[in-house]
Amino acid sequence: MKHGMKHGMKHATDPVAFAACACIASAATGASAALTSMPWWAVLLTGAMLAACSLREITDRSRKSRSVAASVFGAAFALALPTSAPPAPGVVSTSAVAVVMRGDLFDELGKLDSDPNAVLGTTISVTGAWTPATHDDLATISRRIVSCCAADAIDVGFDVRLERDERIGAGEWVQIEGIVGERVVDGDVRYVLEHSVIRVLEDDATTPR
Amino acid sequence: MTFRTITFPLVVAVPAVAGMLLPVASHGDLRVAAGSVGIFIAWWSSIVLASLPYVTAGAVCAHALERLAKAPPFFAIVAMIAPGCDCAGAGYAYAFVRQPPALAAFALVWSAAAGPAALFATYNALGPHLLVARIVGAFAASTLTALLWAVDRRRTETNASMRRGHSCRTSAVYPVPPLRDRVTTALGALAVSALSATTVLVVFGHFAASSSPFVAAASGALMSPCSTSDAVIARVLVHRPASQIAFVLASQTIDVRQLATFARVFGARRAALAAVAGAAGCSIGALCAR
Repeated sequence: MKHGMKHGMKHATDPVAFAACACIASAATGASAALTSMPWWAVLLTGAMLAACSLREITDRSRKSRSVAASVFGAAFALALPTSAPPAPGVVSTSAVAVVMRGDLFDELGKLDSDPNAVLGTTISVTGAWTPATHDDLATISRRIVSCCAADAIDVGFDVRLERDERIGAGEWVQIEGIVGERVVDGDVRYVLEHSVIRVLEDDATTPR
Repeated sequence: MTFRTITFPLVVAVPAVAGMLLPVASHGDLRVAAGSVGIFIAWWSSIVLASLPYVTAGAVCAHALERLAKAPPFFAIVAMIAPGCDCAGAGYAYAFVRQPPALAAFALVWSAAAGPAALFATYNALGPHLLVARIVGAFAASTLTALLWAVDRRRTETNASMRRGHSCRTSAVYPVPPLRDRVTTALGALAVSALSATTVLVVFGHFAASSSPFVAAASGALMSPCSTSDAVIARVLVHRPASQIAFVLASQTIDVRQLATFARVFGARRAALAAVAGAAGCSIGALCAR
């Protein structure tokens, strides 16, 4: 094991050079900001540290050419990454998140979590990103929580039944006013805003995203 | 050796290929396929990019500490109280190769499962009762791993002595590896765990929404979320306290990233023992959460 590790490390420059250039390029293009909650400068600094780590060990020409190739490949890989956030995995959850999250939507979910009977049947107004209904699912209004990266992002919010059909694109920032109800889907309780009225928010500073 | 050399490029290439095959096989719609490939690669890259700063910082800190200090407990204490993400563990695991196995096991498992940032996030997202359950489960997993690794070392030394025909203890001497080697080992474990997590997310979505502690633990183990985000994910996706604790503990003690790191640094047998101890810790934590 240890012998293999020692021997195998002779070829180890490539992944480090790949990662270094991928970090630097993704920080430069904005891909790292779109995909992670890490500040761009931290990713850039990481890339610089990895590059220094990789360059320090280069002693011969073959290793140098391998590192250059890995660097180019890493940069090309990062340039192909999206600069806008991909969708969050899974469906929109209607569960409360945590006491530290603030916003009208989180507040209402928090109230529902602590005392559902006090909120069910009342009319509430929440803001968030709009997702139109599909064949299988109701429309949703949600906000995204990115703790670490795009893969662990979670959309939380409400299912929505509109009073009358509206054609609004996915991702639009909207305000929904509706009556809180509940329904059971696959054994889980989901909260839904019934008889809802929707309003598209253009540039509303009082409801930050 | 060959496997070790090609692990990272292979794992970089696999997401693209897998992402292409999965949707094509299920839908046959090229637009859907192209979108799925993009999402697959984006999720995989996001995990790696978000972890790299911690991995690099962990490797650099461990390298610096090894040069500055010699006392083994010092590494362990620093690792356990370092207020970072568990991703850093992949970077500093190398520093524990030269330490007693029991100390290495306890420090690495505890720092991942019950680091200060993880405990803070657990208190905020899941409340004080589940914070205690997490601490108890993490302590059980760390202690059991330490015991199993200590027994394993004793058995290995005994076998080695018998083969040599005398009874003196063996004393393995490991060279201090260069920083680049530490980072490479960590990158391999990180790339593999990111691949596992992305595949699970694409194929199953968030299947942790089950009420069963066993399924929640399996989900956590395969998705390997960071210690700073596992409690928030558990809060939203998992509804029963026992399942929530099983999810967060499995995410840190029997997850792909942790076990891949152990396998690459300490060997497959130690990784298997850590998995057994981690599963026991998850069970104890889940019992405490009831």
